[in-house]
Amino acid sequence: MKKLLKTALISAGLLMSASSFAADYPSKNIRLIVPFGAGGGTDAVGRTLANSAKDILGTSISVMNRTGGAGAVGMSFGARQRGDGYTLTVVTREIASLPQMGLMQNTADDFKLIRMVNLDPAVILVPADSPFNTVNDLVAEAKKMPGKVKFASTAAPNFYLMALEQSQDIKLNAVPYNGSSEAIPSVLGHHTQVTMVTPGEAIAQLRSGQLKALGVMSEERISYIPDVATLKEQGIDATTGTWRGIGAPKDTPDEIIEILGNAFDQAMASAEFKDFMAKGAMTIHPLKAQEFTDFVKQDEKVLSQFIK
Amino acid sequence: MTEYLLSGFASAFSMAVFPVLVFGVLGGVILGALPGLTATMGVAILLPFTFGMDATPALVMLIGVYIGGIYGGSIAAILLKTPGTPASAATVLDGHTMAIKGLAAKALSIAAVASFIGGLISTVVLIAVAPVLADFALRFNAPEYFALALFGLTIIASVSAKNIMKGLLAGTIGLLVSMVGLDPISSVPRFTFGVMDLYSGINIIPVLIGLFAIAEGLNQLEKMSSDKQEMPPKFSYKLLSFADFKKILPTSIKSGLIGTSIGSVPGAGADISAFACYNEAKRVAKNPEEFGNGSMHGLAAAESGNNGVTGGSLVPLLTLGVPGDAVSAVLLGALIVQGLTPGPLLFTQNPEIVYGIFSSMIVANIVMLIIGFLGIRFFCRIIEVPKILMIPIIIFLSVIGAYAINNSMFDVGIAITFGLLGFLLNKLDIPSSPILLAIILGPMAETNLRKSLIMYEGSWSFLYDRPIALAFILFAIFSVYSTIKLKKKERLAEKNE
Amino acid sequence: MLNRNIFFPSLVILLSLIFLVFISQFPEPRYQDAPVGAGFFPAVIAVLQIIICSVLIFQYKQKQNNQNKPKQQETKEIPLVSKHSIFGFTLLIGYAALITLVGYLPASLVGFTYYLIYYRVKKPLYYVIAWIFVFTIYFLFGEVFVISLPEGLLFF
Repeated sequence: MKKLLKTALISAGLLMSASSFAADYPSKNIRLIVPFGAGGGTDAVGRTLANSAKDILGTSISVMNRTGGAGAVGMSFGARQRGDGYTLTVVTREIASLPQMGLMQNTADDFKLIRMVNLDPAVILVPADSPFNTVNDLVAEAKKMPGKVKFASTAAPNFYLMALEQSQDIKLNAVPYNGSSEAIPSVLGHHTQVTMVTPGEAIAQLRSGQLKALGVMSEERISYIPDVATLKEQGIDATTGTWRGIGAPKDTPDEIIEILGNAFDQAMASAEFKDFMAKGAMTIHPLKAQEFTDFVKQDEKVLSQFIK
Repeated sequence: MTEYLLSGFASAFSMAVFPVLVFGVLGGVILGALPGLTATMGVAILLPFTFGMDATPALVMLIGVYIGGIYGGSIAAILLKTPGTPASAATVLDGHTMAIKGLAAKALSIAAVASFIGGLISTVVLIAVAPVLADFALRFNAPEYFALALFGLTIIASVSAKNIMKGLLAGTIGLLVSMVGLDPISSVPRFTFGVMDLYSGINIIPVLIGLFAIAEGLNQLEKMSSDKQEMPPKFSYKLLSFADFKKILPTSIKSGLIGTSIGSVPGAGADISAFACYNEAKRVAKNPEEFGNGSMHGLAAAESGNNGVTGGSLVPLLTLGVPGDAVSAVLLGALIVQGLTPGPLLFTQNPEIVYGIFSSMIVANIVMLIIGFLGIRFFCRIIEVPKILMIPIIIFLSVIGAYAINNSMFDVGIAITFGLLGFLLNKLDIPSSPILLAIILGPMAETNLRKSLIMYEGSWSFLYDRPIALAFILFAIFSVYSTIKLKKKERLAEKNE
Repeated sequence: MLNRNIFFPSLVILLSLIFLVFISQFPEPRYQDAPVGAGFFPAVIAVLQIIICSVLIFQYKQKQNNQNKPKQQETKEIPLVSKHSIFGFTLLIGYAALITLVGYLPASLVGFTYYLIYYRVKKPLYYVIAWIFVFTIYFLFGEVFVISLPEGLLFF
C-alpha cells in the first residue's frame, strides 16, 4: 500500500517537473550526495568542490551525507533520484567494485558521469625501522614465507594488495582494518609489517619520518612524495589506486550535464580547490565525461579479474 | 613550553578568538542537547566554514563545539531522560533519578562541575604526558581491543538494576542487533534480508533515540493521562554544596583520568568511558545500592568520564597524526586544510598551534562551566513546561533527529521500532542501557577477536601473551566476581530484614 | 490470559531458534575468513539468549511457587499497552509518514495541531507555542546548523 502510494506520488511529481527546462537551469539549490560520513576524505573533497562550484553555478550546493555499505547506500540512492540536475552524487571506485561483488544493485551505468575529480595511487608503507627498503625486499620475504608477512588492510577485499599479489605471485597475511586511520597505527605499533594507503592518508607520517614508503603504484612519480620510486622503476608491473568523481542520474538531460561539467572544470581549476587538494596531497585528475566513463569501464574490467 | 602556553592563553582571550570559542561551546551545548545531533556532526558541519579562517580560531571553534557537545548531552539526559548522545546514556542512570526527586538543579550543577573537572584533568594530562599516552595507544591492537570490549561487556551486570538475568537478556538482544549487516571481516551479509540499508548495520544513534527518547515520550503520555493528580515533585533550585563538591571530587578526578586513557586509545570513545567510570565508581562505593537511585557519585563519574575523553582523543592526532575518533578525524582535516602537518612535527614546526589548542581547551572548559551554571535556571524551566506540550516536542524532535543523522527515513523507522521495543521492555522491567552498551561493544569484541585470530594465524595465545590484553581480561573476571559478591550481600541483607 | 513473564522469554527463545536456522544458512565468504567464521558470534549469542530466557522462566516459576501460600492476589500488573500509548505510537508513525510525503514544516504543523486537538487542549497559547516551536526548529536546523530537514516527495 505504502509502496503503491509512493509510486503514484513519484509519477505525479515527475509530471510536474517535466515543465522545468534546461534553459533556466539551475533555478534552485542543488544537493550533492556524499556516500561516506561527514568528516571523511570523500566528504571533505565533496564539500570543498561544492563550495568552489556554487559561485560558478550561481546557486548553493548543499552536501547530504548518506552513508552505509561502503558507499553502496549513498550511490544507489543518488542513482535513483530524479534526473533534473538538482541531485548529484560523488561516485567513488566502489561503484566499479561493489556491484560485481553483489553488494550493490546499481552500477556506473545508472549514472551519467560528469567529471572525474581525483585519482590517487596506493603507496606501500612500512615502519621507519623496518628491514624492508624496497618493494623487492618485501616481495622476497613474502616468497620466502608465504602468508606470513602481516599486512594491515584498509578494506576487505583489498584491491591494492591483490594487484601486487597477482603481479608477483605472492601471498601476504591480510589483517582487515577499518580504513587507514586504523591500519596506520597498527603498522606504527609494529603489530603488522606493511600497509597500503593513498599519499594523502599517510602524508603526516611520511613527513615526520615515522613511516617509510617502499614504492608508489602509479605510472609516474607523485609530486607530493617525489623521492618515492614507482613500482615500475623497481621492475614490478603493478599500478593501482583509487578515484572519485561526480555523477548524475542517467536520465539527466545532456545540456544540464554540459552546464555542470563546465562548472566543475572551473571549480577544479579554482585556486581554493587546488590549494585544498595540494595540502591534502591528493592529485586532481579532471577527466571529461566521456573519458571518465571509459576509464570506469576499464577499471571495472581490471577489478573483475580479482572478483571471481 | 610555559611561554607558549601563556601566549596561547593571551590569544584565547583575544577579540579574534574568544567570541568564536564561546560561539563554539554554546553551539556544541545546544547540538549535544538535541537528540540525534552529536558533537561529531557539529564539527563536520562547521569544517567548511573554517576554510576561510586563520588556523587558531578555526581549531578553537571546532574544539569548543566538541567540548560543549559532550557536556550538552547531559542536560537532556538529566531533565528529560533523553540522552542526546550515546556518551550521556550513563548519565541518565542517576542524573534523571535525581531530577525526579526534585534535585534537577543540583544534578545539573554536579554534571557541569564533573564535566569541567574531567575536561580539565584530561587537558592537563594531555599537555604533560602526551607522548607517554601515545606509546600506550600504539600498544593497542586487535587483542587489546577485544579484551577491552570483553571487560566493557561485564559492565552490563552493574548497570542492570534489580535482576541481573534481565540485564543480560537486554545485553544479548543488543549483541544480536549489532550483528546485523555485512560481517566486518568476510563481508558475509547477516540478517539483512536483502535490505540495502541494513548492509552497514544498524546505526546506534537512532537506536539510542528510540530506546530512550521515544520510549520515554510514550511512557509519559501514558502517565500523564492515567493519573492527572500526580503533581511534579517539589522543585528546588539548590545547587551542589561545598560538602557535595568535596564528596564528588575524588570520583571526578579518578574518572577524568580513566577517561583520558580510554580517549587516548583510537576507536574507544566517550560512550565506553562513561560506562566504565560509572562501573568503577560503583565498584569502590561504600553504598553501591545507591547507584541507579540518584547517586551523586554515579552522576559525577559518568559526566567526568565522558568529558575526560576530550583531551585523550587528541593524543593520537597530535602525536601520531591519526585520528582517534570521528571528531578528531574532522580536526585532522581542519589542520591539513590550514596547511599544517598533524603528528609529532606539529610540536616542533608549529608549537604555537599546539599550545594554542591546549590553552584554548582549558578556556573552553571554563566557558563550558560558566555556561552550564548560568544556564541552570533556564534549563530547569524545561521541567516546568506542561507535559502536554513537552511530550510531542520530545516525539517530534526524536523523529527529526533520527532523520538528520543520515538524511534517511530508514533510520526514522529504526528509531520508531526501538521506541516501541524500549517502551515494552520498560513494562517488563528489562533495562535499556545494556542494549546500548552491547551495540557499542559487540562489534568491537567480534571484529577484534577474529582479527587477532588472523594475526596469530589461528592461535589463541594472544589472550595471555600480551600484557595489556591479559590485564583487561583479568579486570573482566574481577568485575564479574565483584558483581556476584555484591548481589550475594544484597540478598543476605534482604533475608535479614 | 497469557502471562507476560512466561510469554516474553518463550518468544525470545523461539526467535533465537529461528535465528540459529538463519545463521546456519549464511553464505560462504568469497575471500578470506578468520578461523572463527561469520556465524560463530551470532550463534553463541543466540544460545546464550536461550539459556538466559530459560533461567528467567525458571526463576519466575519458582517465585510463584514460593508466593502461592501467603498471598494469592498477583501484584497488580500495569497493562502492556493503553489507549494513550497506542495513540502516541500512531502519532509517531503518522508523523513519519506525513514527513516523507509533504516534508518537515507542513507535517509538523499538522501533527502538533492534531495532537493538541485530540487531547482537547483549549488554551490558544499552547497552539501558538507549538507553532513557534516548529518554526524555531525549522530555522535552527535550516539556517543555523545547515542540516537538511526532510523535504517530502511531493515538493522536491
